[in-house]
Amino acid sequence: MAIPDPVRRTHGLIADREELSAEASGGDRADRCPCPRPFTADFDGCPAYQPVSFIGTDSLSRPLRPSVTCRHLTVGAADRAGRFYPRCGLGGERERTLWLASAGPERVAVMAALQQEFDAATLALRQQLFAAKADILARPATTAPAERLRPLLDEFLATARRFVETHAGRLADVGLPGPELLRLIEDWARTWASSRDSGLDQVRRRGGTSVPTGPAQPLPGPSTPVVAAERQLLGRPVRRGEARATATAAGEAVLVDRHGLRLLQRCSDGRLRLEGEVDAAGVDALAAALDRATAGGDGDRHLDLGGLLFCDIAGLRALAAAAGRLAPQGRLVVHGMPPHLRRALDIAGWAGLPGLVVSAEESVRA
Amino acid sequence: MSAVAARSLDLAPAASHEAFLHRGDEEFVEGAATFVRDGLERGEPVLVMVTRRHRDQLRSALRRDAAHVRFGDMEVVGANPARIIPTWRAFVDEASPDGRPVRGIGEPIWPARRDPELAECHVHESLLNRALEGTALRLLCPYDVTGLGADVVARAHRTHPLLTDGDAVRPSAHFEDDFHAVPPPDLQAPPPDAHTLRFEADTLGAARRVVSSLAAHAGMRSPRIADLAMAANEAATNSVRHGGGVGTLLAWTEPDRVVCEVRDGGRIEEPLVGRIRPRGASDARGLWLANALCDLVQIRTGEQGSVVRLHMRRD
Repeated sequence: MAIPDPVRRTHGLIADREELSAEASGGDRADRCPCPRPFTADFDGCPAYQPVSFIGTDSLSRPLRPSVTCRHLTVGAADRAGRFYPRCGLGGERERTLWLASAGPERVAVMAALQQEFDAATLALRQQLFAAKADILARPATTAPAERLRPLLDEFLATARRFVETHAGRLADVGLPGPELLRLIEDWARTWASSRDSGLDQVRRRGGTSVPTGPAQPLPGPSTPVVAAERQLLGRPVRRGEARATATAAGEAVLVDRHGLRLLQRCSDGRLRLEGEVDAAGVDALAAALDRATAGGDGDRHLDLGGLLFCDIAGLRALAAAAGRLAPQGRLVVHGMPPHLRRALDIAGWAGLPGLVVSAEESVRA
Repeated sequence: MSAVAARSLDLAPAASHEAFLHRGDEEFVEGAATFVRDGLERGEPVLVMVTRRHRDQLRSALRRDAAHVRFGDMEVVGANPARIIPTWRAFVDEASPDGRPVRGIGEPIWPARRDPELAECHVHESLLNRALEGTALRLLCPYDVTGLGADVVARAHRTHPLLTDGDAVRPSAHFEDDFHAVPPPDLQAPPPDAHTLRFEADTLGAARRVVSSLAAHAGMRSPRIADLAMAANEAATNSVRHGGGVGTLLAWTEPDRVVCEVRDGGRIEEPLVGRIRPRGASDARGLWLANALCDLVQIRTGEQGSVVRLHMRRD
């Protein structure tokens, strides 16, 4: 059995699969990352996967070969035997689905593409920065190496600025407004440059609020803490609490759970919730379940699409059919329909069906 | 007696589809204005869908008569040529519910058209004969023989039952009545490095992710990625439901666009698929949606199976 590499572990990059399988045999955890690691360049096995290029360091703070990890991958707490496990920061499969739905899968795809483009554009500079930093940490007494870091840092930030300007539209689409993003990058970079640690991870974990000071601090740190901006821009923790709450809510009947598609019904008021992907694999089960759920009794039925990742035309047809069965005594009131699905509903000619109400409330993604 | 007058003696007004082979803008304006005025004098509703330049020229030539003519921007309506037939059908349904004669000028082809669009324009012109059956639309299709290639004009002879030079109308000797007798232009072969994925019902999600990821890396904005993924999924769903349960997705990027296509072993029987507005609950909507969402949709079908190719500009 391989001895875990403390540096890699620190950075959340766990590559030792032997160790993992041993861990897996004893009580698995819902938030265990299900993907094979290390991630390959063309990995596409997890829809929530968010590749981040990463430069690890050895015990002398010298940069290792760049590798790719997932933004959501964290280190799970050790069990009694002292083992760690690769933990998905989003949670289990259902939390990943809810996160993806709230972010919008196509936005997540754009985000992943932008991240890869940014990583590629800055890789050489980041490698030079890490090498310079290692130099500084190896010789804390001298101030000269700091002078090497500053121009590299400026060049890195200029590159970042050009990138953000070039891709302003796409960045805005994924909820990363340019000026805020630039400030965040700048804060991260300066925090990293001013810290005595080599890895960005340690710096980030401190949230930028306790930047170390002392003789080895090569450059002045940022003026303001970055935590608020990070949370605002990268939003994972913001929605997670909510997703958790709904995922564990008691008193819900599971009407459909197959092929990554779930239809749930709250027992208290009969409100329906559709989660995951509706396509040819599961749409017949959905149609049958909606048929049963809308049979008997008149009055409105409410359907929440906040957790929906994808819906095909047959899925929209199932909604239209359910609405048709409820009319004229009742209606199907749909909440949180993503804008492109509203358009598809319109193109398909179902937007004005008498029994179908697409709630005007803004969709979760908007 | 001219052919135009002779036809007006028919008991029931019938659809007609004429290629107007003109030389340059001046001939276009003269012939088109005469055609429009003739219609207005008979009290026929007229819809003109031509390029913006021709629209402006015709408008000023018609002077006050222009107020009685409906104009559409063919560069928008016909960007995807498969959206043109539904527009004519909607015009006929609205302006001629009682079967009264109506007129239109439709210019789907102009010199700047790129190859794949041009191919679909020929398919469109050929399908119009079928789509207009049972209507009373007299449709004039301008072709500038000085600006278009000889092959384009030769195609017009095959897809239009009638030809006119703005004066006399004569039957086209090369017209092919049967849609299948005019094979649509072949598709260019996909590049060898195209992403390829075999899919079935359970793996449609993976097919969608291939498309989304490729489009995202090509710089496409997220709302258009959602549209392309949806259209590709409908094409793939047709393979799952009607094409033998499995299909192959190919996806690649071109300098200005992302292209993905779905191949399967099924055969598409209805040539007008995706061009007929769905009405009943069970009407097919997949390719109708694809035509509405994508910049271009190319469908080829035969004994060997079917190909549905979707184009989406990157910007």
